[in-house]
Amino acid sequence: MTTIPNWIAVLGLIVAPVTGLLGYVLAGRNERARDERAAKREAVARRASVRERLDEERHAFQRETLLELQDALQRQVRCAAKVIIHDRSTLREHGTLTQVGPELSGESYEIGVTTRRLQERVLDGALRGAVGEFSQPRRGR
Amino acid sequence: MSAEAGIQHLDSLQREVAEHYVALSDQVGTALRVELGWLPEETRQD
Repeated sequence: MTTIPNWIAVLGLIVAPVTGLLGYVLAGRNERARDERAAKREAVARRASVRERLDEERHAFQRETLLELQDALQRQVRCAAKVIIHDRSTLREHGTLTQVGPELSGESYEIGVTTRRLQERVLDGALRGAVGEFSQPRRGR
Repeated sequence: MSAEAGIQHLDSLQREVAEHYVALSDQVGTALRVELGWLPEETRQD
């Protein structure tokens, strides 16, 4: 009859719980690593989402600014035309330039301030410069 | 400067303003179309 050595019997008793314990520990580590990877992916996705939202808000702001700028420039050119017509008329009638009335002066000031405010909101440097150049006072050039 | 010369100066100034406005308006329109994504060949400033 064959007898199993005692140490093998003991080993048989120990191996099963030890491997079970090792499996438990490894499963825990794997789960923790998986959670960390998922958290990192979520953080990256969150940052990308915030960046995308900010980008869209910036573009929406630019669109709004440019639409307002179109209107402001149109008003400015009409106002400039009124001033030129006034100057031409006073030159014809009096032979000299006179100040424009308070209404036209106020309109000119208001539209100038509006255009400058919008100009500062334009991100495109070349366009910002072009608007600034257009808004320079022309009378008496 | 005589009144007549002044009037001529104002006429040329008015033309200059109008031409400047047309050019600038075109620039603003292009920038707007870029922002709206209507010009696929031009990229927005990201």
